[in-house]
Amino acid sequence: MIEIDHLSHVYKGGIKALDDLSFSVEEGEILGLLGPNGAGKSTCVKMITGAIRPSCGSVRVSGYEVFRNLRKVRHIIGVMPQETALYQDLTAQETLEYHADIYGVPREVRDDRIAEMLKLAGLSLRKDDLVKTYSGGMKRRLALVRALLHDSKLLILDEMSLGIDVQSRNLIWQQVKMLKKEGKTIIFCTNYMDEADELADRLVIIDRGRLVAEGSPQSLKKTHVGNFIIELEFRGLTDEQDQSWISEQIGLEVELASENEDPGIQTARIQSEDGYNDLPQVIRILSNLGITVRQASMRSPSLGDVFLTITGSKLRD
Amino acid sequence: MVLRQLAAIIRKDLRIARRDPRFIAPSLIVPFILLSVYLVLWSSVGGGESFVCGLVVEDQTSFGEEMAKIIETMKSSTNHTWFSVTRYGLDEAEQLFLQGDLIAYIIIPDGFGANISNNQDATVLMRINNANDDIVKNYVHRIEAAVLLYNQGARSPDFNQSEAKVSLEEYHTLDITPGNVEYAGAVTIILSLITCSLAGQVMNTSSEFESKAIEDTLNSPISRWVLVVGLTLSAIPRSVLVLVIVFPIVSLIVGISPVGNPILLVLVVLLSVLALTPLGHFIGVLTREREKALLVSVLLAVIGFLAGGGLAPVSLLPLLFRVVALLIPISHVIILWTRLFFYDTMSGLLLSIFALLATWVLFTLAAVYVTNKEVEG
Repeated sequence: MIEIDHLSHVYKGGIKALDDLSFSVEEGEILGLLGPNGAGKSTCVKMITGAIRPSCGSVRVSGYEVFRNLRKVRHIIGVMPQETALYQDLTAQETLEYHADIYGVPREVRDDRIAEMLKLAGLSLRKDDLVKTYSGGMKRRLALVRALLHDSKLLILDEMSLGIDVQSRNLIWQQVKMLKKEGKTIIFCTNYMDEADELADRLVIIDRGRLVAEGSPQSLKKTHVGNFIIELEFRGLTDEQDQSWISEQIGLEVELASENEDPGIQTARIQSEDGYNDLPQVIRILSNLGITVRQASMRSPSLGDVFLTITGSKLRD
Repeated sequence: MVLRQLAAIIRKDLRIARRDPRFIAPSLIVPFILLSVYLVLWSSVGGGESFVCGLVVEDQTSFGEEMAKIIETMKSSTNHTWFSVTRYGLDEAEQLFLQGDLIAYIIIPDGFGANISNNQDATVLMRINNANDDIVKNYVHRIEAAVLLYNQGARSPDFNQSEAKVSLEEYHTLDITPGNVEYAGAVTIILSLITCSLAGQVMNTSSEFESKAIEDTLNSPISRWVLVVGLTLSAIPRSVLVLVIVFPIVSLIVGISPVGNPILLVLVVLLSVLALTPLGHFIGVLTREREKALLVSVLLAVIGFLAGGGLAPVSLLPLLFRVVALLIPISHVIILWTRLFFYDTMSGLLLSIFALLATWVLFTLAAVYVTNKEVEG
């Protein structure tokens, strides 16, 4: 459905947003696009919709090279932008009428389709109220059904559940799953790992404009984190005893988090293939080194662990 | 399909305009502020009969009285007088002049008649507050004309010049000369349309960018041409609405009504909206923030208006200023509007019509270009 081939883009001022990015999306697949802020997710999405022309590389949607077939491609795609991007002084009904008219939804089905979408968004009773009177969740739901109204084959959802309540988020998730059953291809960008874990068939993780990992949520966890995550809280580490020293002593990959609120207390995260054996062994080795373990826990890895492992825990602003 | 998209854009814009009529505000505020300034300027401070000139007749002979009557009752052939003349005694005139109540006074001195009787030079004196060159010129011209008439033997009150040695005939390029206040009223009306087409569209476009609401349209298969043309067409009813509000109010305040062909006036209005709206969209795309856009557009509208014939007809400007003014699209809007407002002729207006058509095409092209480019954000 989508083929992204060696895509690069440099914004005015020399900011490199994408750097030789390549991946593809199969028809009927749900692809999650993950990455820290400024990683290039939105730029990538805008190139798929034809809003940004890449500095080099190409994007094909349904076999069409996007920038040579903008109108055809735009008929195929439905976009739910990151910002609510709705006309505040139109009603939901009018918003959808406008969208249907500019996308050329056949007149004979237009009204039925709008009614169907309003029902799907749970807005039938509020369809004649101005958008500016809606809650954040209602606006997101309206933006979602607007993207679906012209029966788009490919749906692009940029931060679909940003700033909305749990109820609205669940409703949107249900709709996305239903659309998957209908055979729609969906790409979504998100910063919520539970959302990516719940909805995506496959994930593409971008960092600094480059593809850094790709695969299903399960395979990414297995490949990048292992079967278990051991988390420790301990004291007694000297200044010289850094992350690499402790990894060497234990024989496992250790990531030291920043210092705890209590002075001298530190937190470590250890990836393990065999947690049940590794956990007691780690505690024993640390005790032998004179390091007191205050608290230890073991859990299955989450997508968040994958994300932090790949992109690091340093803040990105 | 294109017609359906155009209709959708127009319908959407009109609905938003109806529910958020803030776009009207600058279109009403700016012209009325300028009109107030004009009215003060022309009715109270400068121009018209409110400028009082004193006349002191010291000479008690029939010659002095004859001269005084010529000065008091003389009118130009345009039937437009620049000041009224009132008689005072010398001391009173001097005092009023010093207080600023008289802008000038004329003295027909004692001995004026005697000198004429004796075939000697007779002099009329004039004291002028020369704070403004235009006023000085008007006073001087008037007294010169009066002296000329007297010398030629013209007699008040009819100023029958048949007895004069040299007669004076005036020819005017246009049938009537609109007064300053009338001109100000007419240009105020069109300023509301200019502001609405320009500032209204700038605010409309920049608001859509600021709220990102335009993204749905930009992501759609709609052609950018259709988008710009749709926005332009939807500006017509908005601008006409403003005109419908402003026109009767200004007409009542100033006491004017259009002389020209109403159909041609409507066509001028349409052409003006078509020319200025794409320019507004162009600026809106570039500014993208509502507040910044409002400031830029109002400034452009007001400066363009003042430089383009809002204060006085462009044809009265010095050559260099006239050339510059003719490069401003607003000038051509004013030229066409005022001509058809005061005269029932299109003579000499071809340049302005072409200029507005060219502006329409040029800024539609520019608006399409920046809209295409600006999606990159």
